[in-house]
Amino acid sequence: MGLSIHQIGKRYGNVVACADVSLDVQDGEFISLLGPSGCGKTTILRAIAGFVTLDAGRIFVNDLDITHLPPNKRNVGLVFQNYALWPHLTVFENLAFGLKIRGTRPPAIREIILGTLTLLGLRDLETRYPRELSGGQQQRVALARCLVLKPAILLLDEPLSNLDRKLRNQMRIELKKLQRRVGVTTLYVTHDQEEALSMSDRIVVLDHGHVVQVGSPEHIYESPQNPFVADFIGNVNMLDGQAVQRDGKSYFRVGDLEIEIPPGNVAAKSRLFFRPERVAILRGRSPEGFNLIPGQVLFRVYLGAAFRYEIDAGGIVITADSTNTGSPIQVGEKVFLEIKPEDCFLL
Amino acid sequence: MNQTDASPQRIRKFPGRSPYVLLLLPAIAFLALFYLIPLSWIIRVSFYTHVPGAYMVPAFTAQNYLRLVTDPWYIRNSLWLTLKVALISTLASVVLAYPPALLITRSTGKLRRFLLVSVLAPLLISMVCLIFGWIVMFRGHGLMNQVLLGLHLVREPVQWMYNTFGVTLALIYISIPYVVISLLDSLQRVDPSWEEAARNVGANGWQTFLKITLPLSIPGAVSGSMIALTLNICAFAVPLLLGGEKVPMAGLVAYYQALEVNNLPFGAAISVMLLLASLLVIFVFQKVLHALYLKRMEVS
Amino acid sequence: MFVRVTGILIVVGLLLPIGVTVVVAFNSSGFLLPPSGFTLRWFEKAVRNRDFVQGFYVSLAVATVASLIATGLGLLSAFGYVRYSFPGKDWVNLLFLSPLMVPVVVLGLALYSYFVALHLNDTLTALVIGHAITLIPLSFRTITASLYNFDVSMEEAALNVGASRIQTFAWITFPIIKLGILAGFILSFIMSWNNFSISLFLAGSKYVPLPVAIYSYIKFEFDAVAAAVSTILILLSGVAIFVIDRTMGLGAVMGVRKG
Repeated sequence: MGLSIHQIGKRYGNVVACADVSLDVQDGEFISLLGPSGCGKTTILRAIAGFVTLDAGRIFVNDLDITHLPPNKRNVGLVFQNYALWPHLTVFENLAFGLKIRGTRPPAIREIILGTLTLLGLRDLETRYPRELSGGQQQRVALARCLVLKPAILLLDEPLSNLDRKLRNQMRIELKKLQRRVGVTTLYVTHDQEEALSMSDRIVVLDHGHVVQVGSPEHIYESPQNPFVADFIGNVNMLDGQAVQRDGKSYFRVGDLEIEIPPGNVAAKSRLFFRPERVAILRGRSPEGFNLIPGQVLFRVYLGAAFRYEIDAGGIVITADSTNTGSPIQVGEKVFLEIKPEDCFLL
Repeated sequence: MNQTDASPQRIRKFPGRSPYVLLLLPAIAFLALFYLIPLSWIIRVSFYTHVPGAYMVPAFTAQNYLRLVTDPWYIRNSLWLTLKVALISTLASVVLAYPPALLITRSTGKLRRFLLVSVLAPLLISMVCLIFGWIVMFRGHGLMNQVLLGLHLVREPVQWMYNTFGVTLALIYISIPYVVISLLDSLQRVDPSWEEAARNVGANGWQTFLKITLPLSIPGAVSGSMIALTLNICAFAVPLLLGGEKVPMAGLVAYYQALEVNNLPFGAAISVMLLLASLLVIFVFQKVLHALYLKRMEVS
Repeated sequence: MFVRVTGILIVVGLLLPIGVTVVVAFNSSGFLLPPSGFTLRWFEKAVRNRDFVQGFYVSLAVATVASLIATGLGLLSAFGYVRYSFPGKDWVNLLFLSPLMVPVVVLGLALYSYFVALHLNDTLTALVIGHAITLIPLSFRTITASLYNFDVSMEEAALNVGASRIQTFAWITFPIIKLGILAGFILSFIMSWNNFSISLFLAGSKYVPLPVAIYSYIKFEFDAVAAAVSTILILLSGVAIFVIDRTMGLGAVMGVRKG
């Protein structure tokens, strides 16, 4: 087992940073801790690194209890959000610092560092100072500083949040590839759902210090287990109403509307969710499809690759996304919305 | 004045094209009259001659300066002593300022405020009171000797005062708050995550301090030393109050010569030398600081 | 841990001479420590001493007038300095701050010889001017700092809603920076109140500020009366420290960046 967290808890005064958080991470797994700011994800990361003293619980790395070890004895690599590169040391010296402390011999230090710099495409930068590097380069140096020490666990604290959008998207892929190649067990803290969805083997969604759902990106996105997850990850239409059973089928009633939903025991649930991109907008007088709902376009937002429409369906506003195929629907146009039963879920 | 600059920082409170002249003029005039002219005057006076009984006589002679650098008594007992005491007390005050500065940097909220006020308080209390308290503690049968005798650490009372040792100690005491201010400036620029990163890669507390915190705080230590050194080279109140004539540091000699012996030209010469010495210290230390910043010691 | 212990020891060491003085002033056995009982005897003796009483009034007068002058000049010049750009700005800054860099003994001697030449020595005027020179850098620095901290968009907002520039100053700028001005004034006052070195050069026999009076006293007599007078000085310093810390923060006024 790479990393195992048992029921850890921490409060600051009256604020609960995390409570009863447990998590098992397999060797080589890439796990994201995802949640809004203040959800306790950074506290968990810093507790693993040894910078937060826990009120309760234990932390094991490779079955070794590290709960009470000082930060410098844990062999857990942490990439800081602001990178925390030492400004008075060159790239090479930044990387060499930890190795020197371990007593690695200079020739070996040189070899390890040059190997890592080459791996990360930083070979030419070894004599530079941090402030002479671009944001993306600093980010990679911070990663390299951890990797040279071959940490048991790699912890990343929102490492891409200080980069501009384009670079961030590029670094996601690079980081994921690198993690695969090095095979290091990784815990990744982020508030960016796209980042978590695109990089992780599994995602841990946190809210107010509690774990609300753990699962693969697909699982988290397609079958959220509670309204918070459904709302936090992706966009979602959320309608209040009640489920009814008729003729062996299940329906969800919102005002005058009735929408067919997957069969099952849903009596206790009163909220219907479906994603805007799963709503098909059909033009014409009487098209064919499931759950056809007549409506009128209220508002249109241009998103480049897609359009987002707000559609009035008998007093209920539904958001629908459709790809930009060159013939957008006009505001005021009357349309039909198709929502397939399998795209609906109740919570 | 940049008229095209639309920034509303530029309040035109006074009419006319250059209101800043009107705003700055009173202070500049005051300083010129009672600060720049007196300083120039003292430089001029340092070239006068002293005739016993006649106060001073206008002249243009370097004899006052020559006396200072050729008379073995002044070289050995005053200049050398001044340099030695100033260097030792500066070095010691920098070392002793580190723990409180680190302590303040690492504390937060009320504790930080309390510690900061405690360290800065001596700057807002009269030198006479501080040294008086110092005398009460360190005199023959004062608190310090009672404690030391009581603990059997010494056999007879230590002579803390009216010697170079006591003056040095008191100068260290006076300098520490100034150095702490400078150190805080540097230490607060040391991002806590830099220290955490060092811990994360395996450094213990001491290694982290020596390799990360200390090098990054050098600019503060340098500017702190600069302040302490200029204060200590020109010290006169501490040796006057604590050492008397037994510790004739240059500043004290200047005072005695001008006000007690009535040899104003000679006192003036000594003080001009002190002024030059402190300007030299400032110049050299600024160069060092500049070089440090160029070497990327600067931490934004 | 090491830092904490040594740090606290040094902080205690810095405060010890101040604490000891205050204890002695109220101790019935004077310098004999540990204290044996509470007494106001030393204060009674102090207020019956003419030199101390006169010194108190001299100090009060000099500190009031000198810090008023310094604050007035500091306020005007800080506005001129911060709000306008002009050639030689760096030199003006250097001029205003330089009295802090010139060694006290040099400044004292220069002022002494200058006032002797002007036949102004041993007057209140000489003391006031001498003190004001040392205070100008303090008030200039404090007021420029509060002007720099001032968010200019507040003035922009006032102008935007139609206030004239003078109304903006009177209703927006001044109310916001007045704490800075007050802190600068109190700092100046207490620095003058405490000043020993410049006073020693400029005080003759007629007008002797309190710190110099203490010095003259302990030269010949060393008893707890001096501790009592010192305590009066310290007490006023304590009030000033408290007020400055509550208004602007002592650290900010003394040039410590926010942590």
